[in-house]
Amino acid sequence: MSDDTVREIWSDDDLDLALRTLRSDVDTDTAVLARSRTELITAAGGTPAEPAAPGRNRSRRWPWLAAACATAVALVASLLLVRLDQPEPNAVAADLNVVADLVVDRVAVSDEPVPAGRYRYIATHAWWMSTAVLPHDSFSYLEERVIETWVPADERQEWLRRDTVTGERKWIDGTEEEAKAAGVSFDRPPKAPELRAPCGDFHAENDGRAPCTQEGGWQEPDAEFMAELPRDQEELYHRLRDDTDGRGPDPDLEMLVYVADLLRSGLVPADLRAALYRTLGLVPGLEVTEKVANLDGHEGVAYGISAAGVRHDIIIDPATGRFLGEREITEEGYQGVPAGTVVSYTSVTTAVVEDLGDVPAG
Amino acid sequence: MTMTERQPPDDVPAHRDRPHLGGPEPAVEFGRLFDTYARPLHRYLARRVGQDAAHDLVSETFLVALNQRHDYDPRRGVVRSWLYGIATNLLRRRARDEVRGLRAAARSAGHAAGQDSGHDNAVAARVDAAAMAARLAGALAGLSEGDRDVLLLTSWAGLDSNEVADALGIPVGTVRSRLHRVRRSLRATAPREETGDE
Repeated sequence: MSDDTVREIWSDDDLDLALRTLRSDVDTDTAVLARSRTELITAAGGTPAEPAAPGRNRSRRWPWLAAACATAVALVASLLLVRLDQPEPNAVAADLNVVADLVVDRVAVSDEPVPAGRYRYIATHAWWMSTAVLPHDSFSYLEERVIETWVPADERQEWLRRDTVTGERKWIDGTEEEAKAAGVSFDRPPKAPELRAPCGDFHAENDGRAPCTQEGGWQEPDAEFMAELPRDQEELYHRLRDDTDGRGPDPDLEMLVYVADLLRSGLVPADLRAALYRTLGLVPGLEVTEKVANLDGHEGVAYGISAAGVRHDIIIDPATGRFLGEREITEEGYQGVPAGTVVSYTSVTTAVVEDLGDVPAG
Repeated sequence: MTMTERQPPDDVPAHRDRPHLGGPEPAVEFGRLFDTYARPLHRYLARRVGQDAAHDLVSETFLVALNQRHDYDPRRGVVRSWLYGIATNLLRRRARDEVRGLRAAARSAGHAAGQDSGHDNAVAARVDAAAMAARLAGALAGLSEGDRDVLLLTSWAGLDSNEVADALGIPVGTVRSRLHRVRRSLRATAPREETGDE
């Protein structure tokens, strides 16, 4: 064993190099794959007459595209990281500062306190696009999933989370009648798993951990995680930049996505929410994409970033500074789905309720 | 599969591909899924358990997917996560083979490192990388299956954290913290891993 390959600790680059190299010489036998395809299509009741050739083209094109995009993103990322060492206010920074001030001034309104023994109820209504493909047609629609969380005033007590697929659909390409007439079936098994756990640590048992030991993060924030996030906008900006480094298709977009992840929890205290809004004022490329955006019946200002063919908006109520939700809009369009179509959106509402499982009226 | 005017959106990228699989002619959609995902899935599985076993696993994954197509719910995740989730379950049965293969790869380190003297830099770098890969193999053999899944679904399959979370049925925060922990531990243990360790 030569000593120069043995180091005390590898860098991240060393580890990535080793990961890239290990077993990178595998081959896929196209003939074997074609046999598997034939078997699959026959099992699916189809006629496997078509050779796998068009499929090979397609599957080859994708990784190439992905690789090209990844290279472009990496290049852009490295340029941006150099340029963005000193963050500059963007075009909407002034607006966002006003909203942030509003959040702090109206803390009593925007942060309804939860009295002892009661619960904060947080409902997120998420809509996702799905496409049904038939031999000569396709249908696209948005479908709803609702995630409700009940958070006790004392967060160490038991939380409840209910995850419901509602069966609500909004049609983008085609209609429900047309789809059903064409034989598209919508009777998927309804699933509504209910999770209960102290601290909202719903997966402790699965992970083999003691309850209440989940480390908080942007996607699963806890009070501790949020308490230690900086309130200074530049410090928070750098923290966000570091935590999103190397993630997502675009570095600036990913900052917006992380902020939305945190805000979507419905748990962010007013001072942190204000700091997040001010920090968004430093994210390059963020702009007002719609002055009066309607999200599930609530109106607010949409702030968005475009990247990789998609625009991601977050929507804030300018009167209260409340985070209303987010949406994604395709800028390139797909088959049957024109550019400018909303392909997913999530709205967030919160309330204070008496008991676990109670749903606010209206 | 015939090409028609209104063909499926073959330009939908994997991270937003949420097909409706409840259609009356699953052959069309499964043809598309196979053409899009089988080759990268095979490559991923081959790196974990070898080419031949991977061919069987790809075939099984798609047949299981076909049989369970009514369980796939596009609102709960992209189809790629679902397919890799099925493949991960099937891979469980081969965990012992995988560990054996990793230990064998770790033992090959001695050969790789023994060839490096007197060559140009490019060759030396390649040999160095091969030796590091062998050390990594030894360290990977010592990971739990869950940790290996998170690391390799990310690094080899190219899934993002949300997709890994959906594939494994764990929260995305767990994926990110686990990935961070596993990488940190590998950076420390892989360089020290003894070759030929059993």
